[in-house]
Amino acid sequence: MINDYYLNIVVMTFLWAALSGCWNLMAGYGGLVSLGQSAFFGIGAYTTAVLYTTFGLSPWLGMLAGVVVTTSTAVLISWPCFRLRGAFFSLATMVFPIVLEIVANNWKDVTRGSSGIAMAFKPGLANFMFDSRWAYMAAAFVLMMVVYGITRWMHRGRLGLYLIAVRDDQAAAESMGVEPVKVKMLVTVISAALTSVGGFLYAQYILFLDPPSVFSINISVQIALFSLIGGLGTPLGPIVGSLIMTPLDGVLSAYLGGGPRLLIYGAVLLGVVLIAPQGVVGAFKARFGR
Amino acid sequence: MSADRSAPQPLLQINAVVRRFGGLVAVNEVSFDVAAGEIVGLIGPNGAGKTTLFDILSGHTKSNAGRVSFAGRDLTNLPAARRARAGIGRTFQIVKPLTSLTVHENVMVGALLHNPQRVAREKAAAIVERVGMADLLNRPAGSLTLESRKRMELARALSVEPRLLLLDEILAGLNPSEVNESLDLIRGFAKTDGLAVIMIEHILHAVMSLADRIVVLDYGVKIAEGLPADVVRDPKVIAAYLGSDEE
Repeated sequence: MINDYYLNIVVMTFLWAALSGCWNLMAGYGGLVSLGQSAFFGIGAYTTAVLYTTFGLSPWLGMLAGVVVTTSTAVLISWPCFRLRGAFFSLATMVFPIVLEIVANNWKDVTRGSSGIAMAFKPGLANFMFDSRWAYMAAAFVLMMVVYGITRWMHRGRLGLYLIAVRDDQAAAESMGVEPVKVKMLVTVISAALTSVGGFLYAQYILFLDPPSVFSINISVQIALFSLIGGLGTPLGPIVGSLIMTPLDGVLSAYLGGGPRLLIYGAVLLGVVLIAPQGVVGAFKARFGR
Repeated sequence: MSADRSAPQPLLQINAVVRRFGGLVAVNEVSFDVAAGEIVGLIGPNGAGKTTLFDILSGHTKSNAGRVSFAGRDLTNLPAARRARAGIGRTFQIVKPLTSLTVHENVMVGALLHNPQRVAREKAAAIVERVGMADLLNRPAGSLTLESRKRMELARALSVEPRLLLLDEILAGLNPSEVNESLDLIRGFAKTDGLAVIMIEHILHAVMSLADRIVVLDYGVKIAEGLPADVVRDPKVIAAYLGSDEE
């Protein structure tokens, strides 16, 4: 029997695959190893929740508002970060969710601070709230497939080639007419917009937000991790990564909890990095050809 | 608008450009013009500022003074990508392959500048074939030999459909028959396709046989310009290459 517990794992597997896929667009193609994805995730979640609970705005509109706020923020914060390369870019992006978590904790009039926002559950498509987890599963699956589709379309298409060119050698890319800031900005906006929709989905599903649950650095790290495990720079990688790690994490925390869970989680991670440094999909390709 | 101008303008006009690195003046008030269909050889001892001049022309470094005009347009403050779009293709002396892409994809990046994807794919393949790398089309660029990487540099420079080609030592490391092949290729770009070509070259007999005109740089200064036969007899050029008494 499929009970709610297992269905929850499936929902989260799809959601994490989608979020990790968004990160993969930036990092796997453009070399933009962002450690600030939870900023986009949290803004998307909070915008929806605040507009719904405070102004009674339809979550559908909240989702759109979230995308607008997130992409505008992404443009503002990535502009200075694009000047930085490699690890310096990653460190700079890590700052933003930390700042936003502090803001969310202290801007009590809007976010209700650390006590969090509980969203009133009024099921119905108009509110994007559902009695059945199957509906959330379908929504998360659609989001995952949208991210996958965009990645497939980009992979070795114009934007993908431009991003790889900028990542491999910026001067060479420029000599062929590629404008680095433009392509980096474009992929960041796409990634931020879809991550924001992921935040919206999370808020509608859990119906409760507090600052650490959406802005935590752990979320940013986990998003990156799943793509690394599954295969960086491959459309299927984030999905494979999440398919392995999310259920593993769910089962481990159900049966073991705490210390042993982290130990096994860490051992699996270490194993993948040692045995298949290009991720599962990468290793598979290397062994069985393209 | 320019109908009243009697003499046709040269394609590229370099006007007193200067580039300083700290106290070192790498390029010091260098001026010369290049016309369409013309091959100019840029020579000079190591560290003369030849590659820096290329970087200024392609927009990979900014000049501190002077002007660069191309096809009647002032390029001085244009970033590198816009200059490629305007029609300047270049190679890098220290090759810069996009190592995670194939040869075909490397060239496609440039071909996409003026073409939709399908056309770019075909044009890129044609360019790869033209530089004699058809058998390496789908090889990862990271696995190429240095000679092939140099050829791919040439293919990529051509991929942006340039009107001006900047070739930085693309003959270095080639054997004599490969040099001759490349010379024919470059001659074709200029005389058949009408491209303006500036080539930096250390293989003097090659550049002498190919170039319509030679520009000689030494310590960032243009010390000679003229026909190949005249330039090699210039005492200043001989001193720069062989060294004079003070050095």
